[in-house]
Amino acid sequence: MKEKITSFQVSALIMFTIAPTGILLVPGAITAFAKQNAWQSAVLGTLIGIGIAALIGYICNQNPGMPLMTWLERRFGRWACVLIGLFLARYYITVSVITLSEFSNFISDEVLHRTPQWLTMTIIMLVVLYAVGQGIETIVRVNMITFLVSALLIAAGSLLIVENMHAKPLLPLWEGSFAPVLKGSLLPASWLSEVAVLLLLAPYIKEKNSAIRTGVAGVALAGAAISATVAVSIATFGPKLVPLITYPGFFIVSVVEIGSLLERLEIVFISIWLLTMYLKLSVLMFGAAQCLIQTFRIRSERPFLLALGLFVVLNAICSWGNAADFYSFTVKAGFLDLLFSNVLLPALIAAGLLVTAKGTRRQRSYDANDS
Amino acid sequence: MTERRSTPISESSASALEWIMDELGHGADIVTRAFACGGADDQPLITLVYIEGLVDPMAVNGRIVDRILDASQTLGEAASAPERLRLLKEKVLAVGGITEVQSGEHILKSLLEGHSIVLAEGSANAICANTAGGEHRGVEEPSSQTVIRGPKEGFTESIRTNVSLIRRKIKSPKLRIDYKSIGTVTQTQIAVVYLKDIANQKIVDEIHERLDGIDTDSILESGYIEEFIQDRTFTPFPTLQNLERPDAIVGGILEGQIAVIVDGTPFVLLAPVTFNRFFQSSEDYYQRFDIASFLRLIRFGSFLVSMLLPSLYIAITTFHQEMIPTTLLVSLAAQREGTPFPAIVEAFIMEITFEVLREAGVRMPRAMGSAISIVGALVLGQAAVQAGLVSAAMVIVVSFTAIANFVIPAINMATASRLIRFAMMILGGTFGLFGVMTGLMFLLIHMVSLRSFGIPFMLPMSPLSISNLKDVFIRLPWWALSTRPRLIADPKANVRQGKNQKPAPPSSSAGERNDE
Repeated sequence: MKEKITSFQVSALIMFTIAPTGILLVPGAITAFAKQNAWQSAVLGTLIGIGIAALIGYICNQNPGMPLMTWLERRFGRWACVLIGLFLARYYITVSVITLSEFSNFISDEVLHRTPQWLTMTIIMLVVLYAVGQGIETIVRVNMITFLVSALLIAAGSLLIVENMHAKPLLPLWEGSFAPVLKGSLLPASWLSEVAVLLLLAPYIKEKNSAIRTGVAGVALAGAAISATVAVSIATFGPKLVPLITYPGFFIVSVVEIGSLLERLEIVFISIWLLTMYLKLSVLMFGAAQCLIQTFRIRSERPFLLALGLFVVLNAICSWGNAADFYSFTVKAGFLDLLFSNVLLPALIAAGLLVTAKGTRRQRSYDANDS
Repeated sequence: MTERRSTPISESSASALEWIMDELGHGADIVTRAFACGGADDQPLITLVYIEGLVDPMAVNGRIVDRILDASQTLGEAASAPERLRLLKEKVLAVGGITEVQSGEHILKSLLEGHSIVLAEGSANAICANTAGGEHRGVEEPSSQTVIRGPKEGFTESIRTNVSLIRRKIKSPKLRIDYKSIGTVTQTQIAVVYLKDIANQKIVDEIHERLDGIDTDSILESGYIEEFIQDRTFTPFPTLQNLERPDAIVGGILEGQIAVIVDGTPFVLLAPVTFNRFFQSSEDYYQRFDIASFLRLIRFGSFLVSMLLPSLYIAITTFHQEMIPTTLLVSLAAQREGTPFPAIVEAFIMEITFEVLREAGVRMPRAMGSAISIVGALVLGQAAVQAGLVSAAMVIVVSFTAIANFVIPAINMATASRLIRFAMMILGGTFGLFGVMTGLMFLLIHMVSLRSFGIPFMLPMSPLSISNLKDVFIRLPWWALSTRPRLIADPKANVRQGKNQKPAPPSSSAGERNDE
């Protein structure tokens, strides 16, 4: 645990753990539910996400700075720790597999149509394993550079798309019932619940007791990015068109044209987005690796990482027969898994912490009385 | 390392001299001179030994030989050998650096460093007078790191000259120069130069520790030291800077960096360094800040061009033609129509040709230089295009890449980008922009994980340090650079100059004042 990172770095990392796939897939899905009010769903989802971040932050603040699993073992005992560790590892492996598939699907859809997916997956995984092998400090630092570059690029991009945006598609506000908006908010909320990775990152943060602030800031940033993408896509294409476009976030940029000189600018954004996807996958793989390493006290990390990477790549290749299968899995099972692993499990841990805290306090007072 | 022996010096000058000659292999450049001083001819009272070429002949003749001859009577009348030695030391020898030595090994080491040895009959001690000198290159303008405005002096091969060049610029008692000799055979002198209380003591200790850990027979250039003490070997990026300019080294020392001077080379090492330091030229600080900032941006841009341009060209023309404006695409397609190879092969042919020409330019005798440049220009330029081997656009790409590479002030960083370029070209040719971005991501992870003596290589970009950014991509005016770079200098010596030094015109103009 020599590595130390700052609260701001972790907030930025949380943003890039959530946003890359969020801005890609969320706009289309929630616009289908909530039509022109989809941006309200995204904002509402962000508020729910902030609540989740506060819960996660609360748990993190109880941790006196030990690695997550070591701490849980001390509080709940070996078997509970192994159960939680296995469950979380399973979750992170699943999300890694999903993200890797999304990533390589995108590459084969948009960029390299004829390259076999196993090859792109292997290359992606090699880079990710290199990052994970270098440690969390390296991942957050790469993230900071990407953060700065993408902030500049997004600022430039927003200036360029302003002329294509119209307020009309966003109107009328609050038409129809609130139910679709509420239903639509669950998807961004589940996406934002990925803030739970903070449980693993918090022990590395330099500033003590800053987990709530860190988590909330990260979720707010990611939520703002998703909400803005939703609003801008609707303002540009209208609520009917957005659900039909596979990747509305990038399609927005592709309509930009400056004279005949700069066309098809989306490739620039896609390039930066590729970097953020690498970061997201690195964080998730870091999560999977750390859960297993801490739970089972694995010493030789490098060979283990290779094996884990191979496992994730094979899973991504073999799990789904086609894109439709994959899509229905992410919408049906993935959504539930996110909520269960990132909200319910932490809530259980929090409850457990409260109970054991009371237990130990009572025990301590008994001891005091006895003596 | 070999064990240190200590051989006592024989009281008889003749046998002491014989021992020295035996040890040094009776070299013809070893000069001995005996002074009878009233003693028997076959048993002179005083003997002088030195190695020709390593000593300053003026000093030996004027300050030692001449003085001993003048004082030969006094010396002959001295009561005992120790008394004679004392007289020599205190009254006769007119040399500043004089030491009395007791061991034979010490005598040999001193002789090889250019000292003159004075032996006195009957004494087990010898006098060692510092007369080091001899021929070496004078201070000239640096050949590899030139500037338009700024000092024109460069380091030389002599460590003494180099140290004095630094001393002359920093007239502070806090300047520390720690000498050591490394290399069991070459015994090369190394000097670690830093400012006490401004350099971070932890890094100074770390450098000393790493230097002391070197166990080798020879150090011929600072490159040897660099490879022994750098943080990581398997990286294309240099983590120590080498500079030929005293002003640049002094600039670094004043920011808290530590210089390592190696005898025998004009290239002085500077550590710890961060990535951005390789894009700074000492001239940046002598020119106006606006043009200096502009040039910095040009250099960073050139680095990216030099690393990425061929790979991006390959990726875009092979995989992403839709990105190119239609008219350009049509003209590119027309050019490429006649060429038999895919873009990546074309690029490799041109890049390798250029690398060969470049290496030839460095190695070949100067007289043939113009011939090779004509051949090079013809081969690279017209003939290859006319023969249909490569397209004209590729020639432009490769030559611009090559020129961009020369913009980077630090040659070792320029070489790094040359190596990376080839890897990127393969990635761009096989996986298009995805490959290039993957390569960049790999590079970014690698660079961020690098450290130079414990200092993150990518500071101040990541970890972000806003105050350090004042002198990275742009250079703010001097009055705004009030602090030293964070982490590199001693935290207590953070403040470099006073605040609020922004110049402003006087509140009333000179003309008005005259009117009053």
